Amino acid sequence: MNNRKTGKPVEILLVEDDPGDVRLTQEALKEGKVLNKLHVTPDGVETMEFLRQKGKYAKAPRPDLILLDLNLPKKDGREVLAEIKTDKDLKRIPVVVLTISQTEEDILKSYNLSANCYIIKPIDLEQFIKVVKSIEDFWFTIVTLPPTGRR
Amino acid sequence: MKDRLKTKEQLISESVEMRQRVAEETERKRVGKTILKAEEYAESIVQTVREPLLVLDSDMRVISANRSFYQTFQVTPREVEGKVIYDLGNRQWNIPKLRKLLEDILPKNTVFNDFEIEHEFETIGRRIMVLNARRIYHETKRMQMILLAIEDITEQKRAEKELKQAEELKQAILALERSNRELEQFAYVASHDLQEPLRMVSSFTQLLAKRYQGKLDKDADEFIAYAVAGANRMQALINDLLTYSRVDTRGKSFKPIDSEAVFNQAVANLRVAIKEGEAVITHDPLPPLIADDLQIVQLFQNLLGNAIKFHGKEPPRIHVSAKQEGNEWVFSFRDNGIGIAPEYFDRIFVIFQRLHGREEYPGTGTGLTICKKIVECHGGRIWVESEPSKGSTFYFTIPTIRR
Repeated sequence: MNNRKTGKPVEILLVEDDPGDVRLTQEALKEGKVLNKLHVTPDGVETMEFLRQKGKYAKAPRPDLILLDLNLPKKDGREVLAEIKTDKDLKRIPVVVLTISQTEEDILKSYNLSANCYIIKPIDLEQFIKVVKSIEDFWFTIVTLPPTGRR
Repeated sequence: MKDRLKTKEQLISESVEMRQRVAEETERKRVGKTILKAEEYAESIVQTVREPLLVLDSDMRVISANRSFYQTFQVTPREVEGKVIYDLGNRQWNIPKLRKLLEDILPKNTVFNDFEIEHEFETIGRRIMVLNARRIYHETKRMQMILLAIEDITEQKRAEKELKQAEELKQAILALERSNRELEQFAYVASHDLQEPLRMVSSFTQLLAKRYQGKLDKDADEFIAYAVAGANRMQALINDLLTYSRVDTRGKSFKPIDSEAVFNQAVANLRVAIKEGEAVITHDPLPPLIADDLQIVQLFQNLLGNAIKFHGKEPPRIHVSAKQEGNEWVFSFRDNGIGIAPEYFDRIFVIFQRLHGREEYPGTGTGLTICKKIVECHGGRIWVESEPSKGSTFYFTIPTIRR
C-alpha cells in the first residue's frame, strides 16, 4: 500500500461543500501519519465528474478512499453513493460516509447502498481530529485495499 | 175507488219522491258520519301527537289542548281551557312578536314556522320552545281556528351546544397539538441545524487555542478563552434543547420496566458525581412501571444529579421512595441540599431558567424542564416542596395503568 515510506501519497477524495469542514479535515489529516493528497469536490455532480475524469477533472487520479458528506448541493451524497456502488469501475473504492446526520434512516440507507462505513462527525474538535486520524489509520495501515487500476 | 186508488202517475211520482228522500237521508247520514269520523280522526291525531298542541279561537282563547300539552307544562284542563293564551301560566306566551304572528293568522291566512322562545316557565323552569301555527277550519262548528304546535327543544339545543363546544374544543386541541408539533419540529430543526455553524465556531476557536495559546499576547489568550467558553456553552444549550425536543418524538415505546433497574442505571451514570460529591443515595423498594425506560433513567438521573449539584454544607444525602395513591405512583426524591424559596417553585421547571450564576452552579437550566416533559409524556405531574437551606423534595406521579 501507499504510505510514507514509499513517498507516494494516498489519494483521498473529500466530498464536502462546507469550506470550514474541508479545512478542518485538512488540519486533521496534517496530524495523521500517512502521507496523503486531499482532493475536494463540493457537490455530487462534480464528484461524479472527478471519478469519471470528465471535464476539468480529466487528469484527476483515482482516489484510494472517498470521504462522503450526505447533504450536498445539486446531487446529494446518497445519490453519489448509489452511483459509485453500482458502477463496475468505481464500486471497489471504499466510501466512508462522514456526516452530521444521526438519523436512523440515513444510517440504514447508506449501508443499504453499500457504504463501507458510516461515521457521525463529532462536534468536538479533538474528537473530530481523532476520528479523521483513525479513518486514515484504519484504511491505509490496517485494511488491505483492492489493487488500483480499472478492471 | 177513485179516492183510494192512486193513479199510476201518482204512484210513480210518490215512489220517485220517496226514493229521493231515502237517498237524501242516506246521503245526509253518510256525510254526518264522515264529518264525525273526520272530527274523531282529527281529535285522535291531536291527542296522539307527542308535541303539545293548542287549538285557539279567533279571540286567542284555548278551545282545547292535547294530553302532551298538559303533561309538558304540568297544568290541568281547568287552568287552560277557555283562557286567552296570553294569560296562561306566568304570561309566557305574551310576547309582542308572537302576538302579531298569531293574530295575523286568521285575517291574513298566514302561517308561521319555527318561532323560537326561551322563557322561565312557572312549572318547568327555563326552556326553549319552538312554535308552529296555521289556520284550521272546524267543519261542524263552522269556524276558523288556529292550531298551535309547541315543541320543547331545550335538550336538543343543549345537545347542539355541547356538540358545538365539543367540536370547538376538538379543534382547539388539534390546533394546539399542531402548534406543539411545529414547535417541537422547530426546536429540533433549529437545534440540529444550529449544530453545523456552531461546530465551525467552536472547532476553529479550539484550533486557535490549540495552536496559538501563549504565542500571541495575553489579551489574545483571554479573548480566545472567552470565545471557546461561549461556543462550548452554546453547544451545551443546543444539545439540551435537542434532548428536550426529542423527549416527545422518541418517547413512544412504553413497556413494563423495573424502576429498581432504572434507578441503578441512573446511579451508574452519575458515579463520578456521586463519588466526587461523596453523596449517599438510599431508596425504598421501587415499583414496576409502564414507561419509556430511557426517559425514566434520564428523569431519575436529572433529579439525582440536581440533588448532588445543589448540596448544602453537608455531603448530599438523597432518599428516593414511591407510594401508590389511587391510580398512580407518587415518587419522591428528598435531599438535604440548599433548598428553594417558594416563589421559585414554578420557575425552576421553565426552560433555561436558572436561580444561580454559572460560576456558582454550572448548567443550562434545562434539566428540570426535561423532567417535567418526561413526566407529562407519561401522563403524570411534577412539583417540588422545599425550604431554603433545609433541602428539597421533588415529587412526580406516574399512572399505574397506561391509558
